Amino acid sequence: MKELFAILIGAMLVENFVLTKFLGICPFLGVSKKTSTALGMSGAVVFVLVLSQAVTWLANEYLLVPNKLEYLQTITFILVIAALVQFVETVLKKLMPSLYKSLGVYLPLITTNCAVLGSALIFVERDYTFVESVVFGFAAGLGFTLALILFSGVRERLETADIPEAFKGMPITLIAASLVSITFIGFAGLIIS
Amino acid sequence: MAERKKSFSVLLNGLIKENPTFRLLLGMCPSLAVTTMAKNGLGMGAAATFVLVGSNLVISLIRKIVPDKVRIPAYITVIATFTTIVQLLMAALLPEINKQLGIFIPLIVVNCIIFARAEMFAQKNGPFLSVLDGLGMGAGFTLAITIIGSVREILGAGTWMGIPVTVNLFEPAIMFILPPGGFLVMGFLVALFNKLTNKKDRNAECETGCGVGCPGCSKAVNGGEA
Amino acid sequence: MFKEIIKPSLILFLVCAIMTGALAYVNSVTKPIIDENNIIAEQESLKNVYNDADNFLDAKTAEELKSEGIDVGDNIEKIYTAQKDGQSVGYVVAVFSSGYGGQMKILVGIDNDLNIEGVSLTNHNETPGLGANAADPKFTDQFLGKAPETTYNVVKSVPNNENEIQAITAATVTSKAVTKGVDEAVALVRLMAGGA
Repeated sequence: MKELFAILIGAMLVENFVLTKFLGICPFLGVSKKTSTALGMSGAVVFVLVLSQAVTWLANEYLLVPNKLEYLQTITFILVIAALVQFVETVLKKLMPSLYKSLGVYLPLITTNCAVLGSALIFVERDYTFVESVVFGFAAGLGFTLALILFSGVRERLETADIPEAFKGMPITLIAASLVSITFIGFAGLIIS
Repeated sequence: MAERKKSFSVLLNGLIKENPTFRLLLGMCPSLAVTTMAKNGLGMGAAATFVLVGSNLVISLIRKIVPDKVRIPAYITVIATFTTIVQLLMAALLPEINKQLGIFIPLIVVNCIIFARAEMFAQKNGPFLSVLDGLGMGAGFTLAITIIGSVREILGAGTWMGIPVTVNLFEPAIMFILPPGGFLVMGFLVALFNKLTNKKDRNAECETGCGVGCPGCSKAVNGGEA
Repeated sequence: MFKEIIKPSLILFLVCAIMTGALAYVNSVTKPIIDENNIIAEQESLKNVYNDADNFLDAKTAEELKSEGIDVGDNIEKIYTAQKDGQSVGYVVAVFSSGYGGQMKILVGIDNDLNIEGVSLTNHNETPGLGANAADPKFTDQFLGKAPETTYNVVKSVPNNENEIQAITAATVTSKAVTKGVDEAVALVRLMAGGA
């Protein structure tokens, strides 16, 4: 239990995917303009991350490792993730139209979100068990959510700020992200056993 | 002559006019993550260029045989293959840099630059031009992340390519090689790039590229399936 | 039917097959080189902490040691035997420890008389410029020489006693973590060599 809690806090705060590991930067910059879209995207990411961690872990453990095909990890993981996203989209559309309505538009963007493939590659690197990698995926998703929502608040204020011409748009957003990222450095050292 | 001129402009396009990092804002994750040192930027750039050229070539060759329905999975397979090849080659030939870049080598597969070029260029052009486009875009990406890496390494560690350069000029600010420094340097460099290039040109570009980055290209990815 | 489903599936299958074939070939070429690289890198990192030895063998994992009835600390990964001219002269212990930025891996070379030959951090995630300085010889060289009877003690001033290690400024947690790892390695070697 203690290890799982350490993974949870670690993936969420100490090594926050967006602000300290630079995974999932694109959606972080792309959909953080409004808090409402940030929420939708985050929900979709948490959902897919948990599912994909489970499926890719099983694929790795029972298909690749026993057959000594570890070199096919990247290609297998990305195809599994792409198929999974497609599958989730179809199922949600049929079974839970209301949930699909709120998450649907964000789902297609997740295949190319490096946080998802990144989590899969990390559980291999760290030799996580099934439960650990699912918890890791969930925590990474929560960390992504936290970063996105915090940052969307900052960005809503940037809209009205007076900014030099050359800095308008992406540059000032990146600089604001840098400041938010500094706050997350404060979490380093939170887990010391 | 005209043919030659076109090839040349395709090659140069990626360097400045449509620089994937500073202009199109694609592939931000590795641009920020591995650029703590100039050398890493160079290594990452070379790896991505290899994948770009390879996948552009193959996709341009098979673009007419592959039906639209399975286009996306087929392209993903091609890109993932070249990514794995580069991963194996790096581990065999440059183990040192490979260790530094870590999971960002396999993550090339989800680097938007690759897929965006496959969809926007290789899909519509012949193999020769596609290879040139891959080379140009790869060079633009390499140039951009090597610059980011150099700035961060000089300011943050006082070295360049591992050689001490600032000796006693100033005390290096560690912050620049930590994550916040990545965002900060990137922000200033994009602003500088905006300032130096033609403003009118930029606005035209912004409608398609700026600010959307990867979500934009993901739409292209999934457009075929919707 | 053919045009709708079978043809696309066939082509997709073909693409996958050709690509996987290409990968299998590249893998068969690079695998031996990668394996050899890993062996060389391992030997080099071991040599780094035990310059006197010319060969390292018999890596025993913590589980194997436990099954032999040796009381191994929780964080020991494995232990190598260091040889010189075919004679076993000491050990290199790979041990994990929790630093500021997560787990780090420490290699400690110790000879049969419990002299510490070298300490190095092979895998760590400490803050550059602060905790990462623990990988510097400036810090790790403090351990060289005879291991103390008791455990090491981390101090913030210039050390007076043999067993005192001066912490890195602003990185006490990292300093303590490294020291704890070395302590555990010494304890293990004391069991294996000192008992005899």
